[in-house]
Amino acid sequence: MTHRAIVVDQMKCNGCQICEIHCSRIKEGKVWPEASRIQIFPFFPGLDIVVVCQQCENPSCVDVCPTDAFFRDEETAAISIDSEKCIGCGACAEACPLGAIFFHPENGKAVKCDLCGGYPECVKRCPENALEYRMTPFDATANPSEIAQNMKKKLVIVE
Amino acid sequence: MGFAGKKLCIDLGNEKSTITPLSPDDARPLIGGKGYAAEMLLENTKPGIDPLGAENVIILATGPITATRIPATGRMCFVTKSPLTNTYNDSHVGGHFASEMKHAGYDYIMIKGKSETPVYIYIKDEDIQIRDATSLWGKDSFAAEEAIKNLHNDRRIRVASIGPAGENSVRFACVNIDLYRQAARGGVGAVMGSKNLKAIAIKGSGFIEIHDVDTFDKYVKECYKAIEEDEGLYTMKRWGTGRSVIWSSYTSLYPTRNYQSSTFEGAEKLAGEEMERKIWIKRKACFGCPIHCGHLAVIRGDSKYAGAVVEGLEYETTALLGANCGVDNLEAVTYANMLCDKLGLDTLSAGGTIAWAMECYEKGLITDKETDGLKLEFGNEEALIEMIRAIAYRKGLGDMLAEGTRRASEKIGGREFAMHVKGLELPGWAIRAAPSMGLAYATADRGGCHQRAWPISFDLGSETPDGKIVERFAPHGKAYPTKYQQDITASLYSLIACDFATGTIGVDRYIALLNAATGWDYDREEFMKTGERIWNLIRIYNIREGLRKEDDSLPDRIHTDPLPEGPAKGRKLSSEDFGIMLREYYEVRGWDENGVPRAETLQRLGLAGKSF
Repeated sequence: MTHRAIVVDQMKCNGCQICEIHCSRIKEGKVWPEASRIQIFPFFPGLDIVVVCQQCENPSCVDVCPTDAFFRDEETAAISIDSEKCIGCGACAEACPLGAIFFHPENGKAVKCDLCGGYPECVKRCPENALEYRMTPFDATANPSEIAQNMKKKLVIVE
Repeated sequence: MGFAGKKLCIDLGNEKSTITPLSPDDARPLIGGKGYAAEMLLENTKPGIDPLGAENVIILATGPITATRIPATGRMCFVTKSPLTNTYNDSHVGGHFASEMKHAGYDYIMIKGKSETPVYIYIKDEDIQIRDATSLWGKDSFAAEEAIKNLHNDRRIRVASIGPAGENSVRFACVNIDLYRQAARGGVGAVMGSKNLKAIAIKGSGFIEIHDVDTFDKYVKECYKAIEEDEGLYTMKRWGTGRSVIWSSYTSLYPTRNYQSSTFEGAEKLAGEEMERKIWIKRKACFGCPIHCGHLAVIRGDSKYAGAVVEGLEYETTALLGANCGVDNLEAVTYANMLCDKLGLDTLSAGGTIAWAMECYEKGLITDKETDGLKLEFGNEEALIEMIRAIAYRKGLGDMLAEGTRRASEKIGGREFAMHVKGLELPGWAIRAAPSMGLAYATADRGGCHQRAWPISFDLGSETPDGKIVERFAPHGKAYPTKYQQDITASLYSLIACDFATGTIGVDRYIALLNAATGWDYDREEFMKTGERIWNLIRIYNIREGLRKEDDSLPDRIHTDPLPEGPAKGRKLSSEDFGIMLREYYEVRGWDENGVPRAETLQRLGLAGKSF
């Protein structure tokens, strides 16, 4: 199955958190970065790594869920979570190579990007056009720290 | 609403922390941010205390619109009694600490007392810990921030830390946030160091309630539209503050070789355009800001400075570490900038102090004996870099320079060219080509600062707030525009807004947003008056701390040495002309001839009963 996801150009991200602001507005009705489904992780020396679900074709999060709370949206192919079923055990977050599953700051349940039904708000709002909603045949493999290390290597930044 | 609703007070002496509710009604007469923090400083410190003693406090202040989605509201300020000026100091900084602090639930964090051993404060919502920092002491700011993030295994913690300069009580040590953002001016870092406080780390999981979301959203939308459409902001988005370098030098505003000149022949090499070509790899922004004026600079290739990474350079840094020290090598200035951030020094005061020392060296007041053979001449980039290290660690001559230009010049002479006001080294906008700026520096509430008023535009022909055009080099008519800007800035800094958005968003929109966020009913008149109230409140504090009329003054060089080149060649600002400006200023302020607010002025502003 081909799928679409939010693909990030990490070098374009300036760390402004506007994606987080709007994600939480859409999902929670307020500016609440900790409840955002897309999050930016700052890495030395000044890199901002955006973490958002890549909607993998072979998602490890789905396999490990003890309550079968995950399902794939028929319309968008987004992997979504049935919050009724989620018990907040964290197995999915542990299994995700990218770390793109977060915990809701209030109820502790797993939350993740569901592509806003095919019209992702963060993509629309990013002032740097660092986010793109398009088809991607790749599963997530690296974690944010590895992405940052890789960028540093390319930039020939030695610590 | 708008506010997070809590104040946190941490006493490092007895390791106790108290959380008290903050009522927006209490904050209202001073808005919040800088204004309310100034009152906290006034009330929580005794007169005449040693800024580096345990009795001093540091207040971390956010405003009622911080951490909302209004563009460019990621800023906060550190308010304390400055070890550089011995008066009021608020040092503003962007980045992501302010929003995190409000998400953790605090509008204000006040730190008092002194710890016996090195500590850092870790705050996660209501979990407040004072933790051992013995292993962090001695580390540079970058390493300290990384160590804390690793220790708590959380990349999203925000850290405000000091470097070795703060630990060693360098009087212009800064506080570092998000690696490259600094609450730089006035020595807040030294105050932190004197408390044995290495860092404050914070993580918040909450959100800020808005009183009237619909109205709020409507105005936020307008802000975004205005920012997108403002062509003047294009250059700010593209080149940041570096956009002003060439213009400034061309207009004789760019301090060069310790203010001997205001035109720098190497300005083009330090301009934003040049940085874009040579060193910038990506942009950097504060919380929620679509202007994103920051840039990450990396020196690559076979340069001897290769590997240097820093956010910037800002205009002010190019002026003080670059032109003012006569250095036009962009890579060297970038490296010097990084070193200042890393070791925890204010790039402005560091540049100002080193430039003064360079002139002393060339005039023989400092000799090879003091510099240990270092050729401390203008243009010597190696000497600049060496002196930054020497100051941060107080080694050799650096020990004296770490006291700042004023104290150093009182010791060895060279006072007539010690470029400071009240002890705070002057920033990167020269005076003789725009005399109004001299008045702004002389009367700024924290000493030589360009961020309280920037009346240069009026001198260059813009219409003043009262609809007049002033004559550029004449002393008359300069007082009111300066006062107006100071008042409005005091209010805007209590929101806390950012200078780079205020022109585009406009005061009226800010007031509408403030009202929508808090449920207040501020109008423009009250907003202006509040600014004036804040300004006078700080004046009261400063007078209490010993400020006299003589302190509202400029360095002799401005009065005696004519500009040697550029479009304002031959210009100086005579003491007589400056005297006229200052007299007019006291008058429009409602202060007596000694610069003390008159009883009726305080009465009018609701400050009667505040004692000096």
